[in-house]
Amino acid sequence: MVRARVKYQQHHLKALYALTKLSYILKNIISDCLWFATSISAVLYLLYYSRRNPDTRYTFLIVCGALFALWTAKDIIKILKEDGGKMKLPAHDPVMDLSFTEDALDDLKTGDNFTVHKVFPYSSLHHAVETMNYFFIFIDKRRAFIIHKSELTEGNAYELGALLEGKLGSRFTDKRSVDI
Amino acid sequence: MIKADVRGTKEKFRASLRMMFTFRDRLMFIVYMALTVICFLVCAGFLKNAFGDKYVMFSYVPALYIFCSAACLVVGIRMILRTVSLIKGWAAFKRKASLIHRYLSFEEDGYTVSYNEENGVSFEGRYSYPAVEKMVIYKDFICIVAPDDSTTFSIADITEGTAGQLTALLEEKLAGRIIHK
Repeated sequence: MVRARVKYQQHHLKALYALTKLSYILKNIISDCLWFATSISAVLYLLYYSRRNPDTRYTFLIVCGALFALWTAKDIIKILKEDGGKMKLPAHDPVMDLSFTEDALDDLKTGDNFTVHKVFPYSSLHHAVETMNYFFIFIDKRRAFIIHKSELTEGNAYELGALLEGKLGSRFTDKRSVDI
Repeated sequence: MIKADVRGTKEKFRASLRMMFTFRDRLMFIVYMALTVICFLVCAGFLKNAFGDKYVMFSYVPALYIFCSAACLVVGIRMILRTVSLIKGWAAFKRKASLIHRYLSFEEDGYTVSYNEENGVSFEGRYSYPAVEKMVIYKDFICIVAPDDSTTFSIADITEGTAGQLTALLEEKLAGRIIHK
């Protein structure tokens, strides 16, 4: 049996973001880049047009276009820089005791004024990934348990990797070469 | 002790949606759909009038025309994909809700909720009343929102104790966190 005690901190979220960053960036950045290009080209065109046909109306449009360009640029920087505020630590600050038994993943979550006990048979897990420092166990497409290897309290990373590989088969991905 | 056996029904699903989504959420959804349509209309309009008189000011700037129609198309497609995933989520939630049989038991110091999902996942949560985020009451339905779980049940689901006892207990323990809809 392998056990872990996890209390989520920022580094867990950063690790999950680093793992899923590429698809997140691609999904979010394309439209922002296109809007940025649209607003910049509009501003350039209006500058060129207003030079030939001076009119105060164009100044207002140029300012609007420039502000929109700045707004989209800010969004692009935010997406590239960090998680864009999408991932937040659980509000109740719970401690999770995870036990990997032969049949299932047992999760005992203890927070202020509540205790939740969940049992996930391995067949119900979506997929799992092992990186250099973490295990990510996805219970569905969007939600995952994130375990830093130093948080294992019984057993070791090698045992957990072998157990997950044996139970999940092709749903387990070994990315130990990835520095996350 | 007050106990309830909760089985998912169509009415309960509708009530839980009504309790979960506020008027603002519904309004936002309508605005979202309207924006999706606008995005596609703008995209189609640019394509149609690219070399016409209507958008002559823009059609002289190929880059602007290309970027704007592409941006509208990308945003429109993203919005449609999001809507599809939202509808899929609703359908999955409805299916899951109809299959799960929950057991609730209310005591003086807290309540317990337990259920088993179709895929073998089992859940048992023990909550003290301070952990409850909010309770929404709509007609005969009650929705209790707590960390990791929100349960909707109706007064008719109570198997031990009475509805009066339950409402008295919850009103005493959750004062200030009860929303009547």
